[in-house]
Amino acid sequence: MRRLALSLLNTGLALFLAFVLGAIAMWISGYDPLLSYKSMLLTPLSDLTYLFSALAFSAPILLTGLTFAVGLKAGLFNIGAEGQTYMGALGAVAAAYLTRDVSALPLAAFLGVAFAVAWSAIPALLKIWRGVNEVVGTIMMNWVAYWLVIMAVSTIFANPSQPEESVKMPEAARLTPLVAGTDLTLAVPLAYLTAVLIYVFLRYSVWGYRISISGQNPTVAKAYGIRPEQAVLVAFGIGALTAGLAGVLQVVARPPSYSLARNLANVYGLGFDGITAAMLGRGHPIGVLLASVFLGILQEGARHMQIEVGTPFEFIRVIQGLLILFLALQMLRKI
Amino acid sequence: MNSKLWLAIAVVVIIAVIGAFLAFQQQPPAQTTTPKTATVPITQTTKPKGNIYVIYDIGGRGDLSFNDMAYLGASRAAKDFGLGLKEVQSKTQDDYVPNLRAAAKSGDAVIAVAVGFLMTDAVKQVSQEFPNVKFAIIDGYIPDRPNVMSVLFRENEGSALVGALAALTAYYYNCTKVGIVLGMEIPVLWKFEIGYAYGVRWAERFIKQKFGKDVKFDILYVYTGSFNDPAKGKQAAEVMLAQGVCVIYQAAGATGLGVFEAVAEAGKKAGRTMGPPFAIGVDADQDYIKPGFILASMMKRVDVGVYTAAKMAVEGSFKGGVLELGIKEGGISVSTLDDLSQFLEIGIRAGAVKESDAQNIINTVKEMRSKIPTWIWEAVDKFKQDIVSGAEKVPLPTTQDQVVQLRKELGLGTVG
Amino acid sequence: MKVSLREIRKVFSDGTHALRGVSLDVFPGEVLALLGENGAGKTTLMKILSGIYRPTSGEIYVDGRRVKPKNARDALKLGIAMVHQHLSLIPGLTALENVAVLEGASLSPVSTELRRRVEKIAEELGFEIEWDRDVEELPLGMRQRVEIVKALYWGAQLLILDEPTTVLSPPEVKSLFQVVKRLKEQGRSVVYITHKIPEVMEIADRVVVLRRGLKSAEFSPPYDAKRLVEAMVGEVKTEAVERLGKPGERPVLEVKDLWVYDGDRAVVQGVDLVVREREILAIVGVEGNGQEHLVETIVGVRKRSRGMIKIYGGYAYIPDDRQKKALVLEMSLVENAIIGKENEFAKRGLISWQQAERFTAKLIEEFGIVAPGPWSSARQLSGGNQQKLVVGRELSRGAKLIVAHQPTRGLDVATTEYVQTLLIKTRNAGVGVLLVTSDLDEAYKIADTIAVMYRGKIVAYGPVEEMGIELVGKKMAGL
Repeated sequence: MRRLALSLLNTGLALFLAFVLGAIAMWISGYDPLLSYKSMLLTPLSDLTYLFSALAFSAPILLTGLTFAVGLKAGLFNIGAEGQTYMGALGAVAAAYLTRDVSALPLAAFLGVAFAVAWSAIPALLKIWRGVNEVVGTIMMNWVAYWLVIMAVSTIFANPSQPEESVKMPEAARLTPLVAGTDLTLAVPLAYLTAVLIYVFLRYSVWGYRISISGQNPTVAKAYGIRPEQAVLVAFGIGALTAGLAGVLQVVARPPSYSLARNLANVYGLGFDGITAAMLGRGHPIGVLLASVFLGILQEGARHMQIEVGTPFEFIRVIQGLLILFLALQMLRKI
Repeated sequence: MNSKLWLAIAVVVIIAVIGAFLAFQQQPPAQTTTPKTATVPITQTTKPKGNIYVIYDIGGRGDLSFNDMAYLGASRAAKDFGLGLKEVQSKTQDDYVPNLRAAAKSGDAVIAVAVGFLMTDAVKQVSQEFPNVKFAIIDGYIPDRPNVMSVLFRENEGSALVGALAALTAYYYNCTKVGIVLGMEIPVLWKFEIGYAYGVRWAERFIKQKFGKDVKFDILYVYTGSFNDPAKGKQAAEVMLAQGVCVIYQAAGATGLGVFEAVAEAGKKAGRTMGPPFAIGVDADQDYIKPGFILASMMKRVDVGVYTAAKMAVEGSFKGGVLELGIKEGGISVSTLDDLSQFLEIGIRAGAVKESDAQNIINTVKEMRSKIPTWIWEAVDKFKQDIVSGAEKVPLPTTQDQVVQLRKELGLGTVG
Repeated sequence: MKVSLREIRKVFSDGTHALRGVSLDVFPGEVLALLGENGAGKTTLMKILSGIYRPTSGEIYVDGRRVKPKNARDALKLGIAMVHQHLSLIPGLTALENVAVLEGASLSPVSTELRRRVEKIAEELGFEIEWDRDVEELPLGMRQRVEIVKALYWGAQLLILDEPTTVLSPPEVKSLFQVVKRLKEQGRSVVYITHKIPEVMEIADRVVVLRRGLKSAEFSPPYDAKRLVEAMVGEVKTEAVERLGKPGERPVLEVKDLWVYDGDRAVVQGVDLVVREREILAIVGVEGNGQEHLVETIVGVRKRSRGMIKIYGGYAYIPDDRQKKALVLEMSLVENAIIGKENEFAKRGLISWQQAERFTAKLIEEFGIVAPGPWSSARQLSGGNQQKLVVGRELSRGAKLIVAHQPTRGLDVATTEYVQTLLIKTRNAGVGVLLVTSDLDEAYKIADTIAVMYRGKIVAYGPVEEMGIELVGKKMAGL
């Protein structure tokens, strides 16, 4: 209980500082901070369309955030969600390329997740076998994925009628909005359900327990028959599952394009937003869920801030950057 | 927590705040002009009848090209028609639909302009959700919606003009090779490639007529496959220069910046402060980037496109379908010194150009242009008149087969 | 040089009150023994004196002048130096370079002048040191001497020796005492931190006893061992449990020709041993002779290079460092209680935390663990209670073999007694125990069989009755 209160307090402090400094930056640059914050934080809640849009933004961030959170539990700094999301999206595009009916949907889910898991296996095995630091391994794989997916989308999977993107999901295989005229698709409840499942996994499953033990203290784990390498592998695998799902959903459940942009614009940066969500949510799946909703609201609010007050959306990035900074400092202090 | 950590935090925070401050000192002035040009008249005179919404794609403002020109057109229209201007940037591709929706839902949108073909799908969808709101999309092709105007440009015409300019200038410097560096091979770029080649061949006919000489230009083209890789552009240009090409037209976005680099380097290596060799800019007025080495730029007047769309919406002549802008409509032009001054102003505001350099740049470009004999400028102008009058028809390829055929006819050659 | 400490208090950031107001004087030419159990505050007090910690409150005077050393270098300037229990020389440098380099200073080339002075100091103390070898290659005893020389070279008048005999074999201990006497003759003061009564009786001019962060008594010769112990631990009451019956025949652990390498150094060299039912086999030896590698290879944490290990009927493991090797301090007691037996509480892959909590509550009760509750974190427990949790968890495994590595290190007398009793009881119930300890008293007290380990080899092995203390001492020293 005390720990929960303390981490809420710390998170609240980081948020408060980020918003105060953001306000100062706005004020210096000649924008009204109060009106800006009002548009940023309240307008998204004032209208169902806007709220659903915010939730739609939260879904992929949540899924990549879970990747990082599960990694943290296993004592890993797994920043591979970015590349695994690309691979997930690539799997969905491959499915769209292979079949043109409803079967593309399950195939997309399967291929996307399979690609992502395969992608994460490389840094995981490098770490286990050769002791390669997972940060190095995953960054490397992120970049390889970036160029590989761009190449695939520019060549085999290119859309002949729309050169800026890949082939589209067949209409029958798309997850279209649950409420017409909004962005709320099945992706949102699916992502939230995933967070709950991950919570159950970490809290109640034997493997979740083993991951926690070997993440906190691999020596203890080893002494009592838990193999940290297996825990690393499982944590990487679970993380890739959610990151891959994020990539798949960005293709099959994100109107209007239902495709992967040639410059990866609809998956780029999701992995890193996920790290923010995971840090803000203190690595707890439900915390990450709340954090991703918050980040979704920020992203939705950015547009209303621009329209209603004329404040540039870059201030959202300033605030997010400051937030990460303060959260990271808190983490550092603990170490 | 120890004092050292506090100190570190303090330092980082101060740097962050100062950094943000500096960043926004440079960027937003372009943006703070928004209220100046748009909302200030509102408070002083009558309430605006509504707003022009401009939705940018991911790149957004500050590109000194496409998006900044859209802003210019929109702010001019807002001023002229007593409207407000609301700008909305997109952080990711997924922002397009909500951005358009927010504009449409506002209820005060005279027109919502989507800047860039990347928003095509989004405009298609949102225009259906809000059939009573007027939309325009720059460079995107949505021909079948009553409330969407697709603003397209005949880049082939402008490319033909700079093709002629390139060939004539090369002829003047006793060179018979010209080139074009392109981005990804997508249909819209064919217009640049074929138009350019057409202009070069036109110049051959002109020379034959004027000087009675038979000159045959080699036209080299290369698709770099990328719009944001200056290193690739530079490499491509260097290969061309090594083969004796003396004027290179770039139609490759940021990749083209490498072309400028390569050309300027080659010129300086030869001990010159001005071309040859020359490069030719694209989309915006890029003459200031390497002054003296950029002959001119093929300008796509996005500002004219946005202004025209807004005007039609205000005047009630707005209708769905395609609005094609070419030389005749003022949607395409070759850069002039006036254009240069205007762009330098934007550049200074965005912090890309130093105020103290601006006059130097203008002087250099002026001097370079004066070194090109007037008959060349006059010839290009004549070519322009012929295109306007319809006497010259610049081919417009739309399919792969047509391109292959035209390449053969116009005798384009690949590098190497 | 006279050093005075006045009302020193130290509260650590985790809330531990390590010192609750201790005053102390050290006079020139005196050997002051600082006696106390682990956790009594001896080392903390001396780390404050030597500038490593800063006191929460209290004052330090050197020759009547108030001083506030900010770090070890500051303290050294005042003439105060500490030789740590875990020696603090820099590996990769030679012994001589280690003397030359001072904390926070850059390494300058060793001058002949320095070498001459260093060798002179060593000679005066009767040391023979291989000055040009990497300190890592030197035996622990010699490293300790290097540290002493280093302190003297930099002008130390007051030398603090923190548990100096832990790393030494009996003959080395003898010669250390000679050194202490010589330092005293030179007019320097020595503060000798220990919890070993015999050492105190042999060399101390005065004894100050610390208990739970307070000075509990002060003695001058002649000493009464019993009173020293009482001052140190309070009242001793022991419920003696005897070993019942002879060891059985069936082995629970067989190790044959075991070799373990650490890098390219063979740290375990062909060890053979057998633990039978109802037998406590104690492996004794000076720390660092391969015991750790032997134990950790048996329980599978390390890889063996060669040889055979056979365990019959499962094992339980009590590691030497409970905080690093046995518990996850950030986690709750419940989570710690089921490590390695999580499957017993799981159904279809999901753990029943209710069941685990009941189990933990039972452990708490059965082993008298003082804890705020089963869901409090292991860090909140005192060292003794942490060890009880570990021992309780391991004994409840129902394994036929218990591997206990220094199971009573750092525990107070009562808990030590309790753990030893538990081991005997378990043994009486038919379980085999492999006890690895450097505490000879413990070995003689509870073991059926004693084996001596020296430089990776078992050099003596036999029933406790046949293994006389002189023999074991000699073997431990490699004689």
